Amino acid sequence: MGAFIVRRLIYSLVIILGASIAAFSLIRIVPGDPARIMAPNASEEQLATIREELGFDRPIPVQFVDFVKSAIKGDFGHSAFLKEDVGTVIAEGLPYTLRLALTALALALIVGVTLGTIAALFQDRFLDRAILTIAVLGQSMPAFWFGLVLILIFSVRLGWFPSFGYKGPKYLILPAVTLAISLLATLIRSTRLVMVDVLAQEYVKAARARGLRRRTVVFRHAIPNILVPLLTVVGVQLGYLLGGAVVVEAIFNVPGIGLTILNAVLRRDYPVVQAVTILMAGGFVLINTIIDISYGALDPRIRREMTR
Amino acid sequence: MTETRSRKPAQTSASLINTSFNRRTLLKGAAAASGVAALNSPIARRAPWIKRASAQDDGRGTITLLSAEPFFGSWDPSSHTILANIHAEWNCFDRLMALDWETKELKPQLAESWTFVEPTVLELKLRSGVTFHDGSPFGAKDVKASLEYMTSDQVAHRAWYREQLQVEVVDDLTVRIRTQSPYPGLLYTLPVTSIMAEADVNNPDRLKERYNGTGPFKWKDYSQETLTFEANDEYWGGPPQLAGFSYQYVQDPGTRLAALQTGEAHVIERVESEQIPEIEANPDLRVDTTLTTENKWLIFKAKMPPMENKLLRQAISFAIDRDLIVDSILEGHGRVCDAHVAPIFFGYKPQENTPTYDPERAKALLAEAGYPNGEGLDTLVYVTSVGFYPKTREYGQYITQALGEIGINIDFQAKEPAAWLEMLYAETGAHLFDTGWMPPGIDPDLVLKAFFYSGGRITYYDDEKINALLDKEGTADPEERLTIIGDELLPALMEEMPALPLFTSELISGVSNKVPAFKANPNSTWDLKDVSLQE
Repeated sequence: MGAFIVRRLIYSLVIILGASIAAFSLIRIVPGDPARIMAPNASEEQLATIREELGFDRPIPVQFVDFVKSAIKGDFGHSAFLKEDVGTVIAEGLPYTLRLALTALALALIVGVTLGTIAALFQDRFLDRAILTIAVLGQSMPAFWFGLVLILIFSVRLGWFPSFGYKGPKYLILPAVTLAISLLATLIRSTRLVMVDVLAQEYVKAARARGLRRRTVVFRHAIPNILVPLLTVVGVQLGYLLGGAVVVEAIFNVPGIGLTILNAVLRRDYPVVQAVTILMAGGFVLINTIIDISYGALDPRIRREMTR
Repeated sequence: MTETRSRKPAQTSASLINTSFNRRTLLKGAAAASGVAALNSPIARRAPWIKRASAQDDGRGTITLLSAEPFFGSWDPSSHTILANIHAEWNCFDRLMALDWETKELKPQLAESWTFVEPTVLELKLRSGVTFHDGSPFGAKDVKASLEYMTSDQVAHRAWYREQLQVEVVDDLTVRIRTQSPYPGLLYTLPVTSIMAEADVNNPDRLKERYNGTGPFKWKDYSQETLTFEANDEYWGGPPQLAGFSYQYVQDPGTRLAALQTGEAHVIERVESEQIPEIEANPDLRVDTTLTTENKWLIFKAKMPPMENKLLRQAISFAIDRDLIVDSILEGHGRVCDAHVAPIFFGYKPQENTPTYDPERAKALLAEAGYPNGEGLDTLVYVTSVGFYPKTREYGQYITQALGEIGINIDFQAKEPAAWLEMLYAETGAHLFDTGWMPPGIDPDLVLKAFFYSGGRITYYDDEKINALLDKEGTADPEERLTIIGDELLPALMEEMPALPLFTSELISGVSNKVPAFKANPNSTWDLKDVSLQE
């Protein structure tokens, strides 16, 4: 198990290093000059002064080496646009994004597993079809459209929820529902698929034959056995939740790291783009590592495999 | 896996790995970690939004304005030419004089009176008893420091001035500005320059940290892309009618509109024309339209062959139906240009030789240029931006089609603003460019000299005749100057056509009726001192 974790950590570091090289070079390859964005009408001499102040006048390899040296010490540079250290920018934005992503995940899990299980129990009947229709609709709706529809109905028309920003928990509801909707659809379909399979297993039939109630069979025997496949789905989808947060935070103007990186890309705020990309890549890798390790906790058969 | 339980407070990573690790402990751990994270999150402790609540506003109320453009986080007014920053500065700093946008007359602000004591010396008498927001007194030394710094070669604000100003302090409340030659445009350029404290100018790091002006609103905070200001109740012109305001960057136009409709914002910038009916249908809201100082241009890059060919530039100008662009594509929100400056500028005079849509004449000019039906003419690259100026892609596609009809092939490229901006200022890269130019003042040199003088910005246009006319008007006495601009310079520009002025932009803002006095200025700024919030 220990060797497995060490191996995964080494892979993770390699991936994060690759992501930092990609983030550093790609944002500089795309056209756009941060100095020109700051002072559109300035002369070349004035732009040169701004570039020198920002440190962007040095050769790119030199900038990269300096960036890596500083990043190792936890210093990700300074945002000229936000007038803050990038570490502070992330520390301010990350809680909003985590709160949004975790709320969306919780929503999707509770509703998705429940509806997926109900669909499996009523396989090929009306309820199953109705739930699957909801899943297909959820998967087909683009987040930016669904978010705007929610704003129009629940903020503009009904006035139940605020439309933008974050000043308290009620600001979280519409963005979380928007972010949850595609994951919800995936979870309904996955839960149903796995649950149908599990319910057809011999041990489930045996449990029913022993006279156990259907509810007991589902909660005691079926649900624990769908956890590992579901965990795989959730693990992959968590990464997409972080990606989806960029769109949802932009629609609702939630000041998380999704909105931060979107604005940073638009105005070529290099230090912020670099740091947030690395953070997101690191988050993705970390989630997947935790999921892999969790398999062992949830399934004794896999735990034995890992310890060999 | 070894099943061992440890109750030691500190565990090594190895012992953690070896600790009992099953479904139950995982779920318990996750629940505990979530709870701890929620209680200890920086958000729970810092609650940054509480600072922005409007409850402590002594009954006057605070308002929220949403910006369509991000801020540049250096608060040194010299270091940028970004409109969002200029809007915020406008209410925190005073200038020496202000412009009455209706009468085009200058009004005293920090200068109470001014006179040219010599053709190259402007003397200004300053207002007494004024203090900066940090409590330091305002005087001649601050004017000297501000003007010399704001017009120095190394700062971006220099773009608006012909030369670096030399300022002499006569006494505590009198200064003299000396120029190298007569500078009639100076009076109408000074109203775009913020006056800062000398101590701040001498300490650039401090200057970048916050605004410290003498204006009606004081700097309070900047976080999460939001600037907040509070009333300066010691303002020399009397206390503002608002307790404060916040100005927040919200990139998405749909989000800005929803915030206005729900009452979370009082003013939103850059409303798109298709959003207007929704605002007009709401009795609590209104649309504020202002014809601006900004012309939208089809720039011909002079250093990109064959754009040096005047007849080709003229052919293109006659091939485009600008009425159609304004009436159909912009739905009437703009005004077709009939001069190389917008109507609000000094010296503006509608020009009789303005090209009107005439495809037959365009074809004849194209043939005269050496390209009958476009033969022998390579494809021209035309670059525009999408995401900031309204309808650029739509009228860009129309222009592409219109030029195609006379035989000019266009490679039309719509780019996001940062990529477009980098190409816009380069000498080469494309033949035709779409851009706007919104000077903060109404002196014609802010446009004409910037664009067309001796290898001007963006156009790189350099013509002896135009240079001579610009030199002539730049040093003439004010009345003669207007004649030179209206009767000589503007007709010459229409003939030479270094750039085609398409239309004068209309600034469209969405405004809550709770702020009845709000009105955007033609340079897109707003004066909030006399704006009140009526619940």
